[in-house]
Amino acid sequence: MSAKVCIVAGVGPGTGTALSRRFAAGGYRVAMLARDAERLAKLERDIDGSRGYAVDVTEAAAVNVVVERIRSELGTPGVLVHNAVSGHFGEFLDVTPEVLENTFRTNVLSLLLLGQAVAPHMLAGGAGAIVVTGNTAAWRGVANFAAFAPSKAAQRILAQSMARSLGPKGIHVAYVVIDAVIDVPWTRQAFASKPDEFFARPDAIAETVYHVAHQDRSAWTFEVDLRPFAEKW
Amino acid sequence: MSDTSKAIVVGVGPAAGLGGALCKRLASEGLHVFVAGRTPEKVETVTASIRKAGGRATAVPGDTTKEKDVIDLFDRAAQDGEGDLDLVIYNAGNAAMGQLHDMDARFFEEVWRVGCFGGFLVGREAVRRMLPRGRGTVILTGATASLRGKPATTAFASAKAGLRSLGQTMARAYGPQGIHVAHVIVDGGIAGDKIIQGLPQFAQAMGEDGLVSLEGLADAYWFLHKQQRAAWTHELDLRTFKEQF
Repeated sequence: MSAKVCIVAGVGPGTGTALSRRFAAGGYRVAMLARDAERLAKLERDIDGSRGYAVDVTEAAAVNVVVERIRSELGTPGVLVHNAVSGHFGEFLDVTPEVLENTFRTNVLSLLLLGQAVAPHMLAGGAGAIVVTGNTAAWRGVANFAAFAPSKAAQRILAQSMARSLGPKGIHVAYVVIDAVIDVPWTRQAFASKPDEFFARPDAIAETVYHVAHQDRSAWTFEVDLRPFAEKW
Repeated sequence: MSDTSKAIVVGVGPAAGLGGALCKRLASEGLHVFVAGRTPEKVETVTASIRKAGGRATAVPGDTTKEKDVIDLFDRAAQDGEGDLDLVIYNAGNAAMGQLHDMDARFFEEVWRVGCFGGFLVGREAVRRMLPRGRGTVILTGATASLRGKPATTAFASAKAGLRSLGQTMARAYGPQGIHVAHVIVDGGIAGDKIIQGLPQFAQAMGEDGLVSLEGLADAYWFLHKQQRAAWTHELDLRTFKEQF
């Protein structure tokens, strides 16, 4: 039996790192995808069983190459966690076409590319899980998320379409809606006056992603929301 | 096992049903389970099977739509055995079908009383008793009908939508005070006796793997209860991989 393999796409200092740790702790060989090779190299040393792959997940050719590399170096991935995100604050009149396009490339197109690169291999094995991390922008467009919210809404709907297409073939697709400010260094600075319970902890988010990725196929979740207990919503 | 906490499961019918499966799962995790349901023989059967397996359980037959019965249930849970009440599950309700134009007013009201009003009584009592400790989990069982009404679910969908809305208000009100309120949407038939024994033709039509498993549901409820408060889920949908949704 070959080792379990998981791809975490979008590994920053918060959720992506926590996801990589959680799946590594669960016995996975974790392929960490991000643009920042330096960060990946550091994490690779830190997380047993992980390997970093510096890649731009919005480039189709690069995605296909990296998935093939992962397959030959680690094995065929049974889990893909899509955590790559391009955030942008800005109201409708301030959004440029470039900004809108960039959020769609990172948040939507990369899910299509990664999903299409891994799903055929999962289908061949008859099982797999694709979990996408999103947030409440997928549900509603607030004024200063004029470019970001449409991309997350589209990402959620793409995931739903994938779930309906791939689910009956044995591949579980799920969408995690994070309704919170995640506890990472920059948010701690930006919300310096907030208490600990204001923030969603990345390790707690990772725990739920891990659970969902391992649900028995007789009771699969598509959508799951997450927020810290103190959150006003 | 070191866990000395207590759980109340309201709406326990056949041993091979969601309520029964939840009771058994919680008992196997070490909780003392208060098994509540309308039919004494059914709650006794579930309770006996838990005890036989070495778990702790107390049968509390009663009507969840009666305020006094619900208060008595929680009093009983407070008095019997060791530990604190950590988890309350509201699982009462049945998918009673019927169309508006030939529906009895009483039928509509009864479906609402079990599907929604009982959830209010149980939810209120749970919150009142958990607030002083600032912790606890309340999980409500929902259905596809919680999200949409169809002609035959006139009464059921109204009740379920009401229960869902109640759960959302509870979560927003008491989450910041440490009480985790979650709503589970069971999107499909459940692989229990109600369908397998009661509706064999439907069960057959759903085919292999066409019903949501009791084990999968119990796993999800348990996971919700164990979530860290740094990232709580309010609503979780569950369906079989084969479900066309």
